[in-house]
Order: sequence, then structure tokens, then C-alpha cells
Amino acid sequence: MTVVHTSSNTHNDYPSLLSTHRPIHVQHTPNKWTDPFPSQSSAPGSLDVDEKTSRLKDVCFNLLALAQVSSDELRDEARSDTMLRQMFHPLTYVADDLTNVALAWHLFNTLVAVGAVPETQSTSRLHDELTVNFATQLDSFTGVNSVPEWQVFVLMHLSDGPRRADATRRVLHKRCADWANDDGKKNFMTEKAGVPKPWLDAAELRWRRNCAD
Amino acid sequence: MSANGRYGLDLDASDSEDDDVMRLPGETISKTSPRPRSSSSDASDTTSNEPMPMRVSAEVAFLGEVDGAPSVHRSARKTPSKPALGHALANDLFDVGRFGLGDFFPTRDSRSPRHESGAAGVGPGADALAAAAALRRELAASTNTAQRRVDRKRRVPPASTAFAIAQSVLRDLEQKKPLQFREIKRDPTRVTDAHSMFGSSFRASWGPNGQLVHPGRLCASTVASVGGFQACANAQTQKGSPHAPHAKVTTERFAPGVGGGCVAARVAALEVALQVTVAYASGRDAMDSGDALDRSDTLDSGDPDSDAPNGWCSATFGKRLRASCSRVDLPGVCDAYLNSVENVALVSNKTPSSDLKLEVSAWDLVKTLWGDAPGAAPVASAADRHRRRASVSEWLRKQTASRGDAVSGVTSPKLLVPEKTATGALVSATRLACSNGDPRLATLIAQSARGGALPELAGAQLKIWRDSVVEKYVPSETTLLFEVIAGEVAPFRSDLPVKDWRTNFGLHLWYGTSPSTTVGKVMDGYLRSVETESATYPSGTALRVSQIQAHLRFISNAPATVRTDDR
Repeated sequence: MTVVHTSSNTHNDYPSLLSTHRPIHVQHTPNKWTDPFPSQSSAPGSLDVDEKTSRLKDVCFNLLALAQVSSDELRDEARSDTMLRQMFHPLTYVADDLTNVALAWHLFNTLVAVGAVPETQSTSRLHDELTVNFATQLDSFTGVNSVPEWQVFVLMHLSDGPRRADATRRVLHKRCADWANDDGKKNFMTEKAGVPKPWLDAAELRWRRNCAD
Repeated sequence: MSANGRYGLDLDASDSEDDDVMRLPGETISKTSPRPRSSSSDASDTTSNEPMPMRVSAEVAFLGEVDGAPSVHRSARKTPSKPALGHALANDLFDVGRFGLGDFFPTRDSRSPRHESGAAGVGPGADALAAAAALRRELAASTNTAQRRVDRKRRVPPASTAFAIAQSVLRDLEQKKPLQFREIKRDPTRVTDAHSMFGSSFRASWGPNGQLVHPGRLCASTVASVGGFQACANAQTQKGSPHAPHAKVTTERFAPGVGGGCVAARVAALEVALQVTVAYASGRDAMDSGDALDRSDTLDSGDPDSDAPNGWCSATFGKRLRASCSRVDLPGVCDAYLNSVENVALVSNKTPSSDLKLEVSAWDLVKTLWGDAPGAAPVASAADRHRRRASVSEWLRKQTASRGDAVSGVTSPKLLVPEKTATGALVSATRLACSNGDPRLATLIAQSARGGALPELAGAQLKIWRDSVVEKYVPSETTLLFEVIAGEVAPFRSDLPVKDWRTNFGLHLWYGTSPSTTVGKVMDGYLRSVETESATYPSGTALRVSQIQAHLRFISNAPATVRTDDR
């Protein structure tokens, strides 16, 4: 039995991974103990860093565990906060990309919608945190891959009103060059994402004024 | 007269007493005797508050009456805050002002009238000089040298001194003592910024499109009102302002990190989320209703009472969005997410296959755990629990089957039988047993994981074999299969294709517990085994070689679809 560590940027190079794997101690004798926690690379959440069993678990295992927790226990914020944060950590579904919170955001949104995760102050904080992180992840797409309309769509999910307005307007100003000349994106933001039109007008006015200079 | 003399500031840092003494004709005493110096750099004239001997006042009055008009003291001292009366009197003797040139020195006329208080007395000049010298010696004797050194350290900072000099040069020739530094007025709306310490030399800010802009002291509104940066720069230059901005604004592109994954994958998933997104209407009512998407509600209506429960004004903060989905609709939503993952796998290879597979597994499990069919049993009922367990078992079989034969790496058909059984592929295992010429074993496999007395019977058979010499004649694959059927799944079985927690958990679910045991209890038992290191830790951050090989085959043959033909 061998173990390799994969990362998001080396997934296309499986032969090299296979050649650099690290063997571990395995006993093939039946009914004998073997290492249930094979050594892995020094990524956060791995055995080399955290030898305790409380380290991050697989996202599917977390979903299974979440389904077994009663709603009353989830409403106990003191107990559920840490558990939910570990459940929706990026390292539960990717190897080493801490910025990839897309799946966590979608899962959390869906589970809140069906009532699997109750809406409490703790879960709202976690949801806002995931939302901002996801918007930041989308912000890394630049140039032709820029998706400011989806950034705004994600940020409009923030539960805190002032922060929602501030973050959304900030993205509108920052990414104005990517949407100012695109009516489709503007219509999407106003009709689908529910962005108030004055926000768009203010950002566009400032952008065009600076361009004129 | 120097500016420092006027403002009571001691610019001389030297300790030489002689350097500070103004040489006057006929003054010989001051060269050898210590000269009273200012005890403080403060501009206030403290000496004027001390009681002055009558004789000295008389001499002062005499000197003030020389030119027939009330004159003022001109201090020849270096530190005029403590007047050296001897110097003053001596200087007055040689002052050209009293001979009619006083108009060239307007500061003399602007002195405080209190210096003219002694104008009533009259006395000979020789007596005045003698009295001044005596007074000077008396003051010098009473002055402590150590105290002077301490006081000398309490000088006004050089910046203030420079300010005083500059102010005197520019427009403050007539300023009186004490010196009042001009208070710098600041805009109260501005927050103190450390960068503003350097004024216009440096001030950075983020501009649109991620540009780092250095516009000097100008803000966008100021520039816009003037007519642009260039016009503002020209205007400032014409005014001679030292803060004329740069004609060219420096911009730097800021790259907010790398990563983010595949943009196609992100957009595809977001389009699914958009389908179930509604505006947050009124708290729990909207959440429970699961109404259809009301796009008109997402517009900025400006109604302050129609927004979130806290009464946020939609015109100010915008309408909050949220996902709305019932448990009946959840399977459709999860299928939409699965289709998006599949489409991304077809068009892009930026996302690692392991991540795609994990995402597929997650959405499939969400559908299994929380999805409902129309008319299904109520949530948390016994029927619902059993249905969930069956669904989870089905999901686990998909997960283990998707790894397929590549997991085991076993080529012998006989060895494949227990491994297929362990991974939940009972149909394949039964078929293999039949093809191997062992129909009795095939019947046992077909009855496994169904409850009843089979586990106990298999355990009893194993005990018989182990307690006798027969064991060494029993094929190892048969023994292994009996062990699986008997529920000997813990501690960790290295002889079984248990490559990850899914297979190990499947062993616990199918063979380690009865079919009526809920998933929650199975999980509790599994976690206890994990704590005792007798089960695989459910880690998802590393993949094994065999899994990578399976993923390669999985993606290349049937992208983003789970193989279920192995059952």
C-alpha cells in the first residue's frame, strides 16, 4: 500500500506522482494490525501536522455526520459552531487550496435552504464568512475570465445589510471596467442579483469620470 | 537684531559663555563675569515680574528720556526671556534709535509699554552703568550653573525654531513675545493617516480595476471639479504651491493572488444556485414557504419595511439573496449540480479529477440524506430512518464500485470474491463464486448483509475451523469471505481492499451491524473504532495511487458519472 499526496496544480502529472510516492509500513498478514493513518504530506489537516483524530475529515463523512445531528443540537451555538466550521472547511474537499470555498458555499446554501442547517447567529456568521471568501475567490479571475456579476451575486447573499452594501459597491467600483460596457452584465446585476441601480450608476459615473481624466 | 533675539529662542548650542556675550564699547566687566542667561527658552519675560531695585529703575528712566520720547528697551542679550539689564542699559547708550533713527526699527516702538514704566526718574549715566554692573554680578553669583545646564536642555525643538525663523522672515517682523505658534487647522472629517505625515509625497489608494493609485494630496472629487489631474496640476503650479501634484498619476496593477480554480466550473455551479435563489422576504415565513422566485422582489423598490427582519432598508443595503429549496425539490437541484460538474469535466481539465469526483460524491450524498420523494415518510420517522440507511448503503456501494477492480489489483478470480463482497458488490461476487465452481459459497454471499442468523453461523463456522487442524486446509479466500460475512471488520483489515474510509465504513455498515441499525449508530461505532485506531480515519486530503488510477479511468471512460454496473 502506498500513499501519495496530490495537489491541485499537479493533477495532470500522475506518472510523476506515482514515481515519487512514499511507501509506508504495511503488514499483509491477515488479522494483523496495520497503520490506519498512513503518512501523508505536510499539508494542513494531515497526520504530519495534526496527529489528533480531531483533524479535518472528508466532506462526505461530515455530511453523514451532519445528517445524524438533531436540529436542537445544531441550534446550540456553542457546540455547533466549531463543528460546522470544521465541516465546511476547504481542506475537507481539496488537497491544499485553502482559497477554494466554492463547494462549501454551495453546500451550505443548499443545506440552509432545506433546513438541514438552522439559521442562527453562528450559522449566519459562518455563511457570511464563506460568502466573502467565495467572492474573494471569484475576484481572482481577471481579464477575460473576470466575473464581476457573479461576485456581486454572491455578495448579495450576505446577511449583514451594511456589509452587504459595502462589499457589493466596493466590487462594483473595483471591477467597473469589466461590466461598464456590458449591458448583459448590468441587466444581470439589477434583475437577477437585485443590485440597486443607483449603485451601478454611481460606480459607472466615477469610472467614466476617471477615464475622462 | 536677529530673529532669535526677538522670539526668545536660544539658537546657540555652544556652551561658551563668551560666544554669547555681545561686545560693547566700554563694557569690560561683562567679559569676565558670568552673564545672566535665560533660565528658560520660554518667550515670557519673567524678569519683568521681579521687583526691580529703585536705582536701576531710575537709570532706566534716564535712558528712556534721552531722546525726549518714551523709548523702549532693546535687549542685546542672546536669550532675552531673562533680560540682562546691564546689557540693555549699555546698549541703550549706543543705540542709534535714540538719535532719531528709531523709525528704521519698528520693533522698538512695538515693545510693551511696561518697559517704559520707569520714565519718571532721572540720574547720571555713570551711576547707571555702575548699578547695572553691580546688579549683573549679583545675579551671576546667585545663578546656579547646574540649573542653567538643566534649563538649557529645555529648549524648544529645532523644528519650532526653524518655524520661528521662517515666520520672522516672511511676515512676522512685528510679532510680540511670547511666541504663539500657529495652530495647524485640520479637517475634522479626515482621519489621521500615518502616510499623511509625508504630505503629498506619498499617499496610496486603491483605484478602480485593482489599480494602486498615488494621486498626491488630491482626491477624485477635487480633480473632477477642477477639470482633471492635468488642469489641477497646472493650477497649482501657477499658484506657486509647493504641493503641485504630479502630472501623471502612478498606477500599479494589483494581482489578488492566484488560484480560484476553473472559472467555468465556478460559473456552472453558480448558474445552478441562481435557479434556486430568491430575495429574502420576511424571515422564517419566506424560508418555510419556499415560494417561487420573485424577481420583482429583488429590485430596489425603496420600501424600507419590505426587507430583512431587522428592517434594513432595501434602498440602502439592497435585498439579501438566499437559496430556497424544499426537500422534494432537492434531488433536482443536486442533479443540476451533478450535471454542471459533468459538463465542466467535459470541457475543461483545470479542475483536478479528484476534486470533481469528490464534488460528485458530495452532491449525491446530499440528495441521499436530505432529498425526499413526493409522499415519502415523514422526516425522522422509523420508515424514514430505514430509507435513509438504505440510501446511504446505496451511495457507499456507488463509491466503492466506482473505484472498481483497480482498487484491489487482484488478478485471481478466487481472491476477487471476498473483495467484491467487502466492497458491497454482492452481485458480482455471487457471479464470480458461481463461475469458480462454488455455488454454495455463492448462496452465502447472496444472503450476506441481509441480517438474520448468517453472521452468527459464519462466526461459529470460523470458530470450528480455528479450533481444529482443518484451518490450514481451508482456502484463505474462503476464510476471508467468512470473516467478512461474520462481521469481523474491526480492527482494520489490511487483507481486504480497504483503501479509504468509504470502504471501511461500508464494512461496518453492511457486516458490522444489523440491517436495522441506523446510520447514526453505525457512525458512532465507526468513530469509536477510529479513536482506537482500528478503523480508517475519514480523511479526504490525500489519495492513494490506486484511487488516482481509478480516477483516471473513471474520467476518461465516463466523465462525472458513477458506475453502478458493478452491483
